[in-house]
Amino acid sequence: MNTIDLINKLAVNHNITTGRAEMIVSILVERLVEKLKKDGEIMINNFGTFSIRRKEPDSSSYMKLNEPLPVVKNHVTFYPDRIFLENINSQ
Amino acid sequence: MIKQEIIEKISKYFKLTSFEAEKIYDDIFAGIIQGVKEDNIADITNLGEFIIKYNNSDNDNKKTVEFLPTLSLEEEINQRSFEEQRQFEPANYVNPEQSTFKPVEEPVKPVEETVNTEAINTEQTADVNLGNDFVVDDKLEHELSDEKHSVEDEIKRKRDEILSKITTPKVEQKNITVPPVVIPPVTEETTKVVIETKEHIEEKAGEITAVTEQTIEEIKEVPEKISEIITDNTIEQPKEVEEVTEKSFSDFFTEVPKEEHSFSNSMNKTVIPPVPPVVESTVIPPVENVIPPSAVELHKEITGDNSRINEYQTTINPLAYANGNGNGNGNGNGENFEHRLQDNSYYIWYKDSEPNNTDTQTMSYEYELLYQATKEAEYKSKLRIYVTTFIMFFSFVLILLIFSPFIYKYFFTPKEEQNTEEVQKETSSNEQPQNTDPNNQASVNSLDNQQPVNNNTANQNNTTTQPVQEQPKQETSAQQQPVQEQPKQEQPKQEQPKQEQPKQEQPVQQNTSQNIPGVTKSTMGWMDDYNKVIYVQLENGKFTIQESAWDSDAKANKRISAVGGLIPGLKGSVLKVDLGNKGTWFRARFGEFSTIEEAKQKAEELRTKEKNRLQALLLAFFWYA
Repeated sequence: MNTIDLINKLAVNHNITTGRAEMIVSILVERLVEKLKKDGEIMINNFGTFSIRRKEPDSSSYMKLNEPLPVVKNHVTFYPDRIFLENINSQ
Repeated sequence: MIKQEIIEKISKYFKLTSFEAEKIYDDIFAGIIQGVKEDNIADITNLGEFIIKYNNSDNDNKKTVEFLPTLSLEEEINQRSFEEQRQFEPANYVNPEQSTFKPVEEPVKPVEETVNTEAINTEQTADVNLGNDFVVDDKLEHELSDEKHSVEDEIKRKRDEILSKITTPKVEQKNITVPPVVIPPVTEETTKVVIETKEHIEEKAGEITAVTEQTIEEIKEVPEKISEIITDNTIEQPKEVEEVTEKSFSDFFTEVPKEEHSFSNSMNKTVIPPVPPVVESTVIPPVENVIPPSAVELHKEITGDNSRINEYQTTINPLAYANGNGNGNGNGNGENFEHRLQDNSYYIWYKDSEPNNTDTQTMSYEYELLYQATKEAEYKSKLRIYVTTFIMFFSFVLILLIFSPFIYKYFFTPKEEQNTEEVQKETSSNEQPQNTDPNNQASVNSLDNQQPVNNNTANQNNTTTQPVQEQPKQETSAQQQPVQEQPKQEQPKQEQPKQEQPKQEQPVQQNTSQNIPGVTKSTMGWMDDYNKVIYVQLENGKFTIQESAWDSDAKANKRISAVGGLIPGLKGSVLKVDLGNKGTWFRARFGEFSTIEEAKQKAEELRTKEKNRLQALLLAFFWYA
């Protein structure tokens, strides 16, 4: 599945143009990313939670090489909701 | 919260009801879930990919969803973290708003430590150990504010110190310049003296006057003593001064004449007693090239070795000859360091002057300079050679390009013209079998019929179609055109006796060749040497230009198209000819003209246009180069 498929699906189900559907999806994604950056965590009902986790690099290898330590990186993790998992596992 | 925000935004932008917007919102996530379920993957731009992952650890083999964020999302998030690190300040942890909303453990730890350190000295530990965060924060605020103040105070203090350091040296210099004022030590006796009455003061004044009188008398006696001392030590004092003062390098040169004089005097005085009697007889006259003794003395002083006087002798000393081998080039013992070169010049080998590091360094530097200079010279010479060769080559190419039209004209013959020459050779070779082999006359005549390619089949079967061809020829002869008589003459070769042919051909050939200059008659037709074409007469009595002959039909057709491009309206045709051992040739012919003059004009036009085109191409190539 792709973003285009999702847009087409929205346009068909709600009788709106594909441009509008694309705009809606892009607004949703932008808002999600902004919120995630601001709060560090988003919980969407019946879908899951996005959260930011800090992952520190392994300093030992860099110490051996006598190189400067890299910057600590953040990673986005997603925990699917129970309904999401049930929907996937149901046949 | 985010759901409401997004719904409001969608409804506001797209003028939808909140219910519809909420439905769309739910539908988007439902669509993602369905897509993941169906396709096992859902790729959403600017967000990431939701991929199904099988959890093999469970017995049920349940599926889970893994989210892979896009690079743009990760970069944005990492940028946020980087900005946070940059804006990090310890004071932020003490913010009461943050402490109330997020009582995180990490920032509290250092606070406890700081408080505990103070608790040792103070009795306020009880309040802190209760674990009240607000109390701790208030204290921390005070401490940090104190720290801030203290830091500011320290900065101010340091600034003042620096300023004072900058300003104080000037004051100290002033104090140094001022002469020191000697203050007599204040004692009890002086205090008593000050308190004493005027009588005491007068007594003291009398004592002082007496002392001053004595001192004045002593001062008067001093010049007399000095004059006595000067008279006693007039000679000794300047000698001591001379010994003490060090001699400069220039002083040696000033002293040379004196020393020379003293040396010569000493020689005059001391020559007779020390020299042995044998040497006395051989008195060596002073030589002009001898190293001056002043230089020897200078060398001694430089080396600082006055003990080795005999090592640096000059040729004036006869001992050198006495100890030497008689050649006059040293004493042979290796102790004399005097050498004479071929040009009667001298140099002294400074035995004691060992090479220092500085000497080697200077030498290496000089050598490096020399090496660089030689390398530069080599490089310049090589560069000059390369540049000259390049210029020569380029000029040669330019000259070739400039004179290429003339070279092309006089030395280079294009392939087309070569082929025309081959055609001429063909004609010459065809002449022989006409005379020798009467059996091949039919085939030769078929070639000479000179019809286009479409009529090749007809040409090959000339013998069969003879009666058919006779009819129009007889009609044409009846029209009484002298030029068109040639095809008539060829056909009777086979049937009728040949006696009639020369009678009819000769006047035609003479007329054409005599009237048109540069055109000669041949077996094939009329040769134009200047334009290098052949004018061939067709069966209908008209003339065509046989421009070239080619190995293949394609080449001939290509040539015809090229000529058609040059002269529009000029029709061309290809004639296939089988020449036996020579192979098959394809003759390119152009146009049909009533007279040879017209054909010649056209041929000249063709050649001039070709030349112009070639020159234009060469010029274009030259300018491009």
